[in-house]
Amino acid sequence: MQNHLLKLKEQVLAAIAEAREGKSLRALEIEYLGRKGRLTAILRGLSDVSEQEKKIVGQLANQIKNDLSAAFRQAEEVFSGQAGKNPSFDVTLPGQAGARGHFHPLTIVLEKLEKFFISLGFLVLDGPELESDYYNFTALNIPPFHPARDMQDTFYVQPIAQQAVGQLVMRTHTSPMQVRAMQKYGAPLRVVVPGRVFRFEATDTRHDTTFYQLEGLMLDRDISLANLTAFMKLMLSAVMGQELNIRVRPGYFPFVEPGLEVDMSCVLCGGQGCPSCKQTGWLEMIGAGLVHPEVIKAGGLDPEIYSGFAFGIGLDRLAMMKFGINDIRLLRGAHLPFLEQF
Amino acid sequence: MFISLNWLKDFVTLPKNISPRELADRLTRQTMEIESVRGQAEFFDRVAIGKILSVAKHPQADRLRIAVLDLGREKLSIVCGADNIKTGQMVPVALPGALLPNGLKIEKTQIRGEWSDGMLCAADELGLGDDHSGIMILTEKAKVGQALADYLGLDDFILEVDNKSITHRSDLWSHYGLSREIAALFDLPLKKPAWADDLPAPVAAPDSLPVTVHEPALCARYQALVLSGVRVEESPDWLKKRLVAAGLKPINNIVDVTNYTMLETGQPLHAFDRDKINRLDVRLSKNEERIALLNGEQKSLPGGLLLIADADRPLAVAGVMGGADSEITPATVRIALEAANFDFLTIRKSQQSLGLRTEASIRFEKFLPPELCSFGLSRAFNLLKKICPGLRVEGGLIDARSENSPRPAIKVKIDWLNRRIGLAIKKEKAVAYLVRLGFQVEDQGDELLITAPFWRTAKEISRPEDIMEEIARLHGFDQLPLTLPAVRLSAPDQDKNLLFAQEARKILVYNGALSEVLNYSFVDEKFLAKLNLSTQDQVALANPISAQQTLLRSALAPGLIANIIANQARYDETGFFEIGLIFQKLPGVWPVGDQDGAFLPHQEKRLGLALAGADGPVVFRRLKTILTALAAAYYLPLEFEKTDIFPGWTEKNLCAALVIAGRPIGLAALISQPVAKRVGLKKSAGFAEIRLAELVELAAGRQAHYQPETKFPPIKRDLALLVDKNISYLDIKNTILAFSPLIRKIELFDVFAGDQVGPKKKSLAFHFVYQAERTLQAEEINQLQKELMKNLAEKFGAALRDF
Repeated sequence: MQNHLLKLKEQVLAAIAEAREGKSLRALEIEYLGRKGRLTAILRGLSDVSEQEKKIVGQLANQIKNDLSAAFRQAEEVFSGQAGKNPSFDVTLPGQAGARGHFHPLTIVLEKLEKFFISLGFLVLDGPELESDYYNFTALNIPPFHPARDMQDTFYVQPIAQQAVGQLVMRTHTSPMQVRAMQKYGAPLRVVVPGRVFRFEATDTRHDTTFYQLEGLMLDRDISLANLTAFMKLMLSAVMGQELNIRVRPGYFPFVEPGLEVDMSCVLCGGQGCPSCKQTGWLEMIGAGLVHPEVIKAGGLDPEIYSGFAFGIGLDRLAMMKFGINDIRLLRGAHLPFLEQF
Repeated sequence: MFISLNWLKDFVTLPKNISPRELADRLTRQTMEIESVRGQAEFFDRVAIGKILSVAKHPQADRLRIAVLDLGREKLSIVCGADNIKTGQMVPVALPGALLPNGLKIEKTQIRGEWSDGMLCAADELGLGDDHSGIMILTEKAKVGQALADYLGLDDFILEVDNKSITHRSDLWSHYGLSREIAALFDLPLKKPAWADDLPAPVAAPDSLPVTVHEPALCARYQALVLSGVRVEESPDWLKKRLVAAGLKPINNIVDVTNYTMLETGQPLHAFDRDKINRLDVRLSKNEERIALLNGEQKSLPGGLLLIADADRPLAVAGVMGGADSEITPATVRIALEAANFDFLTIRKSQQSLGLRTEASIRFEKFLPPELCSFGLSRAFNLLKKICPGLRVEGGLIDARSENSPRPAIKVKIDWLNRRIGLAIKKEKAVAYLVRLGFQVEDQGDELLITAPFWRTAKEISRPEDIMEEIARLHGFDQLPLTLPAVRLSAPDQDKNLLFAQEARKILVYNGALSEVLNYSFVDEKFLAKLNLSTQDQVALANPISAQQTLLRSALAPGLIANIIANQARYDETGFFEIGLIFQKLPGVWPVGDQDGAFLPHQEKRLGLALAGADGPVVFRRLKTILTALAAAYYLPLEFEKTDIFPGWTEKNLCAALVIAGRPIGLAALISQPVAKRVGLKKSAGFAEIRLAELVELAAGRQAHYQPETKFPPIKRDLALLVDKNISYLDIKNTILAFSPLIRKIELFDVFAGDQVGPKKKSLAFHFVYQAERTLQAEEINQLQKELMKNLAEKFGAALRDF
């Protein structure tokens, strides 16, 4: 019985859709919903069925009758030309906000950088976060007892039974991938390595045990200091989406020679001096330099033939600046009122 | 490190038009990072001198008094608790708005009902000493209304150096060394101090004090002077003022002279009480030798640390800290003054083993040149002569030294130099820069032969690259042309996991309505135990920073469930995902590097999802919908299979293996009720975790393949099957599809359980699509369905549901 009713509804709706003028529409309505119409006939036939079924079918039939009447009214409006003139049709009502989730602010920045580097033909690589002492320090010209080891307070892991792997550390920078990439891909090489790094240090609004860096390495014949400074300007301007001035100054990192710090003109005050840039007009963004000959050697290449530049940029800082985030700890875990804004 | 501008002026005269801030900027751009520049006067902004006109009792408080002060332009009434004030005294007055060095902010306030227009200051409140016994009473030269900074003669500017930026430049750890650098930057003359090399003649075998260097490889030079006629007392003001400016605390004249000399010349010195020692041996420690250090610590030393000792006991840990036994005291009348050179590595070992870094050791650890000893010692000798008029030298200069190894000259080709810098610098200009920095340069046409001055050690300057850096920075990194590198074009194969992650994020955010998180890699053992998860495969941190972060995570889902718990009070429904690395103990694929055949522990990229809501089945269905959409984006069919392998925080009937083309890629599950209770999870929550690389591998190369439409119409039928509740959809689906090639597609559109179908049954309703490369007849389909139903009845006890 129900199936029969539903089929009838489908038939009528199809017929309404087929109707090409108002006259045939009215004929159709009389044929089905009229006093002697077919739906009415079916309802009359209900007397044959059980009480329980009568109730169910009756409800369904009434529903169908209402639906069909509405469909006829709507179709009539089309033919009478009233549809577009309906004064209750409010075009300013909002669209329905479909449920959507949120990208993490850090990956928004990260993907922007990844796309920039891919567009320049750079390889984007991943590396291990639990790293050997060798790659994290020694291969980067930081031998045992070097003060730079103290500069980077390190998380160590407990020895793993039955595995003679030497001292392992949570990588303190993404730089170990410089050597791994050189060993795997040789030269010329253009590569960036975004990723998580770890430092054993107290947490506050600007420091965390876990943060993100993007390491870059470009190796070829005759890569120069001038190439490096020009590239830094290009990169920072691309990331911030505006032409920026940069300031290049000496800095010390054992795996580059010379070592440089790259500042960009403060995007908040335009270099005039404000609290964000500690009144200097400059924001410290990047550590960089020409790759140290010992590091090129550790990568299995000849520093007489190849030279290159390397740089590391802090992604948390970049994301915080871009989105005006004032506490680095918001970038870890899931504080939804924060995440929902992205 | 703090640098006093006045001190620098002893050695270099800066042009008048260079302000302290401009000097700092220039140093930052060309030598080292200057973190701040502060005028000393800024420390005492709004602290002025007042004359006490009267002192009266506070009407409401016995211990307080009210002083009226004359500050020249105004008279102030100030409530004061100290009892050493009298009419007529000159005292420092902190006025409203002053910020004292101890952090106290001064305002006009009411104290027990009386207004106080400021505060009278004790010496410690002004950072001028430890004295808190009373208000600081000033001398007669104080003038009413004068700024305190002016009275104290605080006209210096203090530059704060970022020590990290000169880790490699041991020559810059002194005022003289920095003056030398400034002279080179600005091309100014450096004043040679009159005291340089003013030392007594050396004695071959000293009678005054026997000295033996047993480890010449670790102590290239050991100079000492035995001086008698010493009077230990407070240092003169000018000396104390400079120590304070550089951030050091004055102690007594002898110790102050050693510190002053170190700050000025870069050479650390040590003074022993001559009458408490019988000789000086530079030797290695034996295991468990004991020493009482100057800082009050008792240390039991490991073997192999470099010591200064006498016949009886260790006197000092060489280059790090002296012992209390031979300390300078007010009773000291004879001293042995040491200026030595210690190997940087031995110093670093001592620092690490003692957990101690001192002003001396941070200089030694950076490699000091042996030539610096006599420069330092002659300055200290010169200062002591000034301060202690009765000073006499016993014997002569003690000077134990090894031969200095000659510095090899570095060859630099002009052409190479220009290519590395990326700028054609004229040879003459390059030479001029080097000469300004004290380098010796021999011009050999296309090549320069360069020898560094002694203060730029062989550790720092040993390669052509080091020379290139000197020329480039003196020229100015900012002056380089902005030339982008010209390279051969290449289109490298990008990491497929990375590209996949970029797309997956979009699907999960836009389609799955999930929020991305980045959880810590460190997890809480106790939380995992509550979740009933085993931690035996997990790598443990040796030095965790907190008890909540002890292990490296071996799965993403526990962190995501913690995220749900953190947000459950504010949100009815939540959904998170993370793409990140997990760690397990078994060996992975990354070589350790310096050990053949050794590999780092397994590290793998995972995709984790977690959802929470009121109703478990609804949550699980949504989870599956999201996963299906993700797989569908790569034209991959995802199936949910029952599994016997599941973690302890779910149950067998709540957990499904995620399977694509017969290959399991992860799990999807609901958290079991007891576990949820234990961790305080108040919602129904489910999670999925996928091994990203496997999904990426399956997705690789997947794309659409166009099938021309068949002209033979399909026949569509709906069928509802009644089966026992324990029969799984997947088994029925697979049976139906395998039954006949004419069944092109089936689609589950309704699952129903309830009174109408009986308590043990459920109804599964499917749309069927039949199609073939010919016209199908209704009768043929009817027959096929009959046979299908027979088959399903035999296999699953299925019956057709009749409405």
